[in-house]
Amino acid sequence: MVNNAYLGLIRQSQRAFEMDYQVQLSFENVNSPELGGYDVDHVKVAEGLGCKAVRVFEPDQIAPALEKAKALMQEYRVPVVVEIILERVTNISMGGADIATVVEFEELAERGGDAPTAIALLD
Amino acid sequence: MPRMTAARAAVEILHREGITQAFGLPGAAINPFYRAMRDQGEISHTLARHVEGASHMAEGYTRAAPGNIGVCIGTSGPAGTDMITGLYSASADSVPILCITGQAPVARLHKEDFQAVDIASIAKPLTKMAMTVLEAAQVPGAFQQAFHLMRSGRPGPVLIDLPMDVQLTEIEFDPETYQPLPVYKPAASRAQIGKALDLLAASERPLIVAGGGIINADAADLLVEFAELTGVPVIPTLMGWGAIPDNHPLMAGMVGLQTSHRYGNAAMLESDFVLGIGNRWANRHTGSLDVYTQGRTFVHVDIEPTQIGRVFAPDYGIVSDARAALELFVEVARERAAGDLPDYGVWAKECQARKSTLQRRTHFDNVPIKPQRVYEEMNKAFDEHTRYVSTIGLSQIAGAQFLHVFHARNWINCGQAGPLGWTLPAALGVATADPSATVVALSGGYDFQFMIEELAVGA
Repeated sequence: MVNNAYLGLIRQSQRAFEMDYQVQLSFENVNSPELGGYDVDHVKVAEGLGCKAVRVFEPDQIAPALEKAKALMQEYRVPVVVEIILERVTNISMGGADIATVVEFEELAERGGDAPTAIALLD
Repeated sequence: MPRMTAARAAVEILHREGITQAFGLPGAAINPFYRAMRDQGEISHTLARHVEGASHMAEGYTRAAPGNIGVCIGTSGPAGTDMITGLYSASADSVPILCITGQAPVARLHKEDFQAVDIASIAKPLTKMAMTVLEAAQVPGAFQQAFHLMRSGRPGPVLIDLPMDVQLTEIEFDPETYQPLPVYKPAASRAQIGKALDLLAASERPLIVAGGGIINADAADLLVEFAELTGVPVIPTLMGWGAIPDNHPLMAGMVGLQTSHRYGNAAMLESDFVLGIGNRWANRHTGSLDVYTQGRTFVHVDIEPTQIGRVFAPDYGIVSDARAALELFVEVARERAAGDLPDYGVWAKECQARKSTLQRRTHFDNVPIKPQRVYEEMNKAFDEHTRYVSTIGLSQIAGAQFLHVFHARNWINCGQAGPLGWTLPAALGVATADPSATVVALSGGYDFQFMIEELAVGA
């Protein structure tokens, strides 16, 4: 589960209306200040519902968290939630009108290391 | 003749139509059906925490394997209205699920009885049949017809609404000699397939657009065989993703405004001919129809006659089940391969070259994490047999842009309806159908929260 504390797709679509209105999910969670405003404490909720959960804040933690999730699934046979805390605002490549004018918001891959798991490698 | 309650007859029919699993929750007006299910003993039941969750579980269960039909059950009134979103999703994506609801006794239907809503009228536009069964003796026929309709033509859901007294009425019914009705699937003729191949052979840069109908027809192997035989590159739609493995040299990328690859859109813009099979030209796939269609010849094959021409007029349309059409495409192409079909090797290599150059960056080290990096790590962590489930939002869009799928039914995605909350219960349905699989549900925070209580069902 990727958490940017936003209705991200609707936030992105509201750019066309020059607003960022009623799409924020951020709030000061008095029970979980360590979340830094990142919405609901999904780890506590998942655990309360009988599941296991892992939260990740940094990119290098993602791989170990996914491995830990697999081990927890095997051990407990319950759903395991991996919550990945994302940057609040990222615009994902998207076209508004036609397939010839999809907008790329990030820099593109120029060498293999930029997209190391692409299906056909650069370089 | 054996005598039993109409509810018991319905359960006997479910069993004989191959149902082994149901999702739902009991309530006052559906208790006779639950009693019959408990007594009959052949159908496992998963207790959902929200009735809408049960309907999405049923859909995930259907999508997990060819021939599966998910069943969801609830009481009268709000249980039925809660499942309407599930019927919309299943109907829009051509997925058969059977929704069974309890209802107030027949004599009280007109009296604004407690939790007695006209669910059949509400469900009508979202189902192939929605019926409140008023005569107990009609119950066997209603269920028999339900399975016939769900499996015939364009697959889709059915709702059967059973008043309390109808469920409890005893009827004559012989389960031993029950048999399912024949399933109707239209099939292309040789002349039609020959004409489509003539149009293809007249082109220089053809593409096949492979839709979810190919997966519904369990015909992914035939698609790959036809593509290899003709050398024509394939564009899977979001519903058809996995029909050809991502790493196949003829997989040319996905096309669209959102869930698309840069190389997929570039291939489409370069093409001069498109053969669509089991697809519906969804607007997020085509974008502006002028740009999508200009300078291209289109052939459209679909199982539902009224889908031909719905979005735009193709140059040629064929009404056929995708499997039946692909069997003939393979057969006729093989006859012609001797020299009648052009060599598309150069064009296929151009598509392949775009695939290895037109990429988006995923390797970011930023903190907080950029989403692109998440999918890069998922590609490393999960193998080719992983079964992804997703619904809507930036997570679904980015997932489609960056993840990899290698087998049909390993990208189980809500296409047309996109209801927030679908992912988690649908994933539970997939995991129920295929308990040994690694099922990875991909959600954003809001999708996750919509049906978060269903986590307890999996716990």
